[in-house]
Amino acid sequence: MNEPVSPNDQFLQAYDNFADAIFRHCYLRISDRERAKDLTQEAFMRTWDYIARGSAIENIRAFLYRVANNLIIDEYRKKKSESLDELAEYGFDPGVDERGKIFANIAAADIRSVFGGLDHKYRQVLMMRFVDDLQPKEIASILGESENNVSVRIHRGIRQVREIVGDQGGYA
Amino acid sequence: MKNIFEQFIVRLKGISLDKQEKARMRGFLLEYMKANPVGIGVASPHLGQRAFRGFLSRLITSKAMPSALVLALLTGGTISYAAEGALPGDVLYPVKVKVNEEVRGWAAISPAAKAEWNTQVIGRRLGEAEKLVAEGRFSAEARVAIEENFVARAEGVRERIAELEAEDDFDGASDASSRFESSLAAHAEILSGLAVATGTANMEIQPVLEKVRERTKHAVELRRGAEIKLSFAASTTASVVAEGRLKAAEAKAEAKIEEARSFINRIKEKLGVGATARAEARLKLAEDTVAEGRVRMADGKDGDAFRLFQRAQRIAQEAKLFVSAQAILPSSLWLGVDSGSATTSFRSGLDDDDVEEIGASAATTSINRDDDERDGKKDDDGKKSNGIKSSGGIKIDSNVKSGSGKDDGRAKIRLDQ
Repeated sequence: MNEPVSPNDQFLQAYDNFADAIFRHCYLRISDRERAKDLTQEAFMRTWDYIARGSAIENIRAFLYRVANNLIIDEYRKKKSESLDELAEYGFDPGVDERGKIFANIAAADIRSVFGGLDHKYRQVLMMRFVDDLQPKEIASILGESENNVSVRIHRGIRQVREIVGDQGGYA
Repeated sequence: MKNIFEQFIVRLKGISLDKQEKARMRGFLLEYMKANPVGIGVASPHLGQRAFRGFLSRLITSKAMPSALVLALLTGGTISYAAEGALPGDVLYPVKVKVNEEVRGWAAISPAAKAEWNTQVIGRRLGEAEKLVAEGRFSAEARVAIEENFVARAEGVRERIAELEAEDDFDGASDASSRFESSLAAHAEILSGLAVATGTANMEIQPVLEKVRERTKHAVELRRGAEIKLSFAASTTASVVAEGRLKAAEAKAEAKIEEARSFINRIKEKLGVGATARAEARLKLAEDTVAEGRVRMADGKDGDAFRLFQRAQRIAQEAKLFVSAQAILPSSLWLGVDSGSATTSFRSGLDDDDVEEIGASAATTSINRDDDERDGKKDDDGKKSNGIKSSGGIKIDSNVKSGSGKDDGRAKIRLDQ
């Protein structure tokens, strides 16, 4: 389709496509569902501000992630008493989220112990790669790192998940 | 036949906004986009400002506004800033309340954010009352307008806190109620001091003061309730989480004390010696409270420690609020303090028990807000005291100028809560 799409429509389409991913990205790092929603909305608003100013965005998905990451970092700074590690440690608490129905039926301990056991630097890239289906190159550009570092981290992350889970023939 | 890693990924994918949440956010964004169409004006960093500008452009084209106001609006984007300093009765006051506050309210989504915003708006209303009293023009109309808004917002805070508790966010509920309490308590004190200073010249202040005191009592109850629920919830959670929360409360208290101290240092020149001394005495009290909290923490009394840290935070917050209110009031009206009673005039709570009766004596402003029946903590000087401190309190030294020059409406100082 070659007709020009208005910025409004582009933006809304980006919302439809990526709102969940951005929310998930925030929620798994902020651990407060309501706050994560705030940040998600804020990320979209700021992205819109940028568009409304007349600036064109090449890759809106990456842009959204970057804005969200910055907001998350600001959030951490506000709670500067809690180190990134500490937050990340109990950054994932299914008990807090009564609407996360996905956890109602599965052993919450499962996810928490797997995810919680992962180093936080692996959590993010694993999520972006396998849950959000971003390519390592895109992840690299969003995080401002080299593609190589990202790939290495992904592999190490997978390895760590396997260690935690004991993936020797753990087939369902 | 998925391996566990894949299962794990599938479960992660399950985390998302539910349909309602997603639709609601989309609706909000649509409005936001309409309010800020592509190409309008220069973007400013302040979120509320951006939305406000777009909103303005729609207002102008609507024909519903009185022409004088439209003319004012056409003068450009500094209107929202100018409106910030407006007081009831000023031309721009409706803009401040109905536009600025409305728009900034949109940005608050979570119950915690809404509770915080409502608390800030309450601070704005009470700050307006204080300024009006100081300028000698606190009329009955102004009082009614302020009271209505104040009551509505106070209800809003209560509701949000109830929501937070219903969602099991006891941390959030405890935080929000603590801040709510601080704000009300500080303003109750300021208003009380002003009431004394203006004597019988101002009839309108008393009803407001009564309402604020009443709400302060409610706020104390709310806060205590939230703390109790929090300690109950904490005792059933993994100790790692509870400890993280406790350390966070400690750090927040320290950060608040630091913040209050640097704020006071910055505006020292504007304050009298008495006010500075008093503020510092409060900060010392806050620090002592933190120290006591640490002792409890070492003792394993986490619940006590948490409450003490929260209290220290409140004390520091109130000191800062009080001082910032003072800085805004004309220097002819000092809420000074008799230095001899600097440490006892405001007890945010090392005494036991509630005080049901808030004395009519205007020289007394301390409302004992302590909890911790379990504490049994005594005063620094080892006396347990109940009831109202009827000595010391605030001594007012003032020359109230009535009808003094109108605020130029450009004050950008917000009572930062």
